[in-house]
Amino acid sequence: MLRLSSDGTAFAIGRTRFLDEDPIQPENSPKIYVKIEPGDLGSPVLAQLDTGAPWSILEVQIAEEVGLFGGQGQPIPLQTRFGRIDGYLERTKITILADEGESIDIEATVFVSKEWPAGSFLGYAGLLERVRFAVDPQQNFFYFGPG
Amino acid sequence: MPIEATPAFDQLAVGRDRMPWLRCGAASTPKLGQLIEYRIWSIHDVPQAPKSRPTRTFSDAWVEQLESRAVVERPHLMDREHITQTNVRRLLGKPPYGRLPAAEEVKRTRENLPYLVVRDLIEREKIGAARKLLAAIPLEYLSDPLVLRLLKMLAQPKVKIREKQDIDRQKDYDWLRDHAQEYTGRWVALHNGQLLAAAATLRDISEKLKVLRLSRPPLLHRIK
Repeated sequence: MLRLSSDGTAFAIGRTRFLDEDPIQPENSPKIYVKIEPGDLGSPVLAQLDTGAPWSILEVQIAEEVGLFGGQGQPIPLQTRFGRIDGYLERTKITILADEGESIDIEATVFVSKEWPAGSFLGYAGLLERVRFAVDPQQNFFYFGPG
Repeated sequence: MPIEATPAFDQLAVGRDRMPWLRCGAASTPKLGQLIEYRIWSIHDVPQAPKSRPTRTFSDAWVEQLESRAVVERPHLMDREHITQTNVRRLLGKPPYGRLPAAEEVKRTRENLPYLVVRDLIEREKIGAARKLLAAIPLEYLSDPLVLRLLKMLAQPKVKIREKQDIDRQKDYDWLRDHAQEYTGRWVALHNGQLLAAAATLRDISEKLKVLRLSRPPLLHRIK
């Protein structure tokens, strides 16, 4: 696996191939969609990597399926490209799935809202801030490990 | 908005050294102190001194009357011992401050200054500042359910290695590139570059997949 650190420890423990465009609007600027398994969903789903997003966001039906509505989360409003969205911060497990090497389980804080009209996003606070990652744009590989 | 104590309050709280707990709070956290002063002042409805009498010459009887009312409503105001991290539970009681009336507890929650400030920081996406403030929060607030929830939500993510592998989904990505337009608004289940099922909702597609008895879970994606 990818090794970059000076002490010889692995920078990344897993690698996954990512989708690099919006399937419905391929003419848009490239995006990075990686495979995750939210909670105990049991199947991989795609989430867009967005290091500029303050929080990770789960698609509304996924959040519903893993039981994140009706919990004891922290209510917050989130300013998004769709305007202000009211929802909750919830704590849940997100697994970044590896094609090679090992996957990682992240006990993360995510934003969920029944008003959210878009897909899932992996944001920095509460999730990526404890993940080492690197992108190989030639091969479309996403390398990751515990940070 | 800063809240100014009246001269009568100053004389009682500072001049006569009757409320060490109040002064302790005000000295250590000025903003918090202001809030506490405001609460005490509003809760106890302190009687006004006669207009004919200068405000700094309250009789001992008047002060005792005031203090006796305070003792009834908030016994810990009369504690002579300064509150520290080690005696806070003994002096204030077990959290959530069982000796306070229920109405006061509700009011205290609504006016929970650290909670309000941290929530405001989160809403302004200043997560680092919110975490720093929570780390320095006075001990008496750590049993507050609202603060506990903030602590949980703002905790750093925990990462564990998991010996689990998925498969390379390049063929499924290729399918999405070629066919996504045909399934706009629907959930699709893909495996080895083939469409296994499509449905309007995640629940529906999960039901359809149950009967297929797959050896490996398919990639699920909602095409938007």
